[in-house]
Amino acid sequence: MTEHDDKPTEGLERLLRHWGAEQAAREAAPPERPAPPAFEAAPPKHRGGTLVLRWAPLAAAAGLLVAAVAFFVAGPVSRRGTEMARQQADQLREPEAATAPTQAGETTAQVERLRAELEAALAAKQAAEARLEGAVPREQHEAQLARLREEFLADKAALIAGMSARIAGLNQAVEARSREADAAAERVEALTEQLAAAQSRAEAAEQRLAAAAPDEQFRKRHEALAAEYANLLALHRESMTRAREAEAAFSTAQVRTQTLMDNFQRLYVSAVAPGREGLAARRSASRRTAMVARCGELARRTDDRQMAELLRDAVVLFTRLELLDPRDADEARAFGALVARSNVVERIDRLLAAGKPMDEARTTLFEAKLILSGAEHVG
Amino acid sequence: MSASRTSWLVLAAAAALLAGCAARPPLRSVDWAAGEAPAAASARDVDDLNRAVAAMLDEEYARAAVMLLELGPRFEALGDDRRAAECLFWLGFCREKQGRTSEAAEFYRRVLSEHPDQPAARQAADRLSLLAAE
Repeated sequence: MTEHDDKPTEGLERLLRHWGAEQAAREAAPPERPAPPAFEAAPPKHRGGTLVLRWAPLAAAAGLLVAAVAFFVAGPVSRRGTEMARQQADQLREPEAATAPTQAGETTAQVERLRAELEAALAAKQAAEARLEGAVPREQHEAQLARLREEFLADKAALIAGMSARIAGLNQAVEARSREADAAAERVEALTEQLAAAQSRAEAAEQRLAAAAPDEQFRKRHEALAAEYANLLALHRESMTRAREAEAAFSTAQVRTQTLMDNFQRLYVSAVAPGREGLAARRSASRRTAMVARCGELARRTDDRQMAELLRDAVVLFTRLELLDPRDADEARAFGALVARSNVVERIDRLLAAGKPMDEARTTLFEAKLILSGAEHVG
Repeated sequence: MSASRTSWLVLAAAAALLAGCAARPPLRSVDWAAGEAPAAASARDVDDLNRAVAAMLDEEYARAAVMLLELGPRFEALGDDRRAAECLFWLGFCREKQGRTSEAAEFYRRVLSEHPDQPAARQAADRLSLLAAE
């Protein structure tokens, strides 16, 4: 064969090869599997990313819920708790906004971390509450301390002032006593000198007496004088005793007289103003005995200036007594002060004791005394 | 937290008190002309009257009259007729002792005309009788 003759053969071979290759390929390809029945259809296989995407929102919601609880519990207690809860929520939102967590384990770890932070926030809340409870008493304590300090300083100042006054008084007393002691010492010294002089005089007299011859007349005179002195001494003691007894009797008589006078006064007032007592009885007695008119009349008639003044005062007092309301405690007290100030009862006593008044005046003055005496104590 | 709650409670109590005070009716002055009970004279007023009487005991009638001229209107304003009448009577007494008998009689007559039911009226009538006799 020639080269030219070979060319158709080569083309055929090429076609055959091509056909053969296709055939070989068809034959080599595996036969198609029949479609399985529907009920046997296997679930579509999910990839790992799909599973994470389904649980991530739930995990985020749980995280948000925990954060909300932490915010609710720790929020009112302190800003620290609020800030922590907000940071937790931010941390939870950021991954959600960016990319969802890829593994459930990370979510669990995050929940654990949040729980730990929640416990820490609760502990911080309790600590803050404890500090808050301790803060109020401390303020009160400081205020009380300041008040006590002020009181202490005031008491201290008052004490110092009092002590200074007392010390000054004591110093004055000490000085006075010192002066008295000096004066007493001077007196003792003078008496000592006098005693020494008397002793020396007595010694001289004894020496003179011893030197002189015994004088019988002198001795008798001395004995008589001694006896007389003893008698006088006994008389003096007796008179002193009698004076004391008389004084006691006089005091008793004074008390009896006063008692008698009081009883008589009560009797008089109750007779003149029956059924009344106190200032009301005195007012009735004054009205019924017409003391204002009687005292005024006597004051006009008398020539004694002292008695006229006394009667004029009595007119004013009896007028005031008749005008006041005896139930009013203030007026009763004021009237008592007026009577005490005028000293009218003692002035009547002095006039009666002097025996100056005539009979009519004596009776009027005595009745005035009966009505007014003790009025300063009637309320 | 408790301090904040306490602060709110105090604020609420103060607001309630303010509202109560605002709702209270205003105080009214006493109207003597309407016949209301007169206020009692104070112990100071009684002491002042006593001082005037004490001045008369000292025969300082001019000083006593000055005090009584000040005291009388005070008792009148208080509605205390008894003491107002007594002031008028003592004024007459002072004028009588000062030798101003016509003025004294005028005061005594005022007691009788303005306060005829008071105890001072009887005393004033007695003094007027004495003045007439003299």
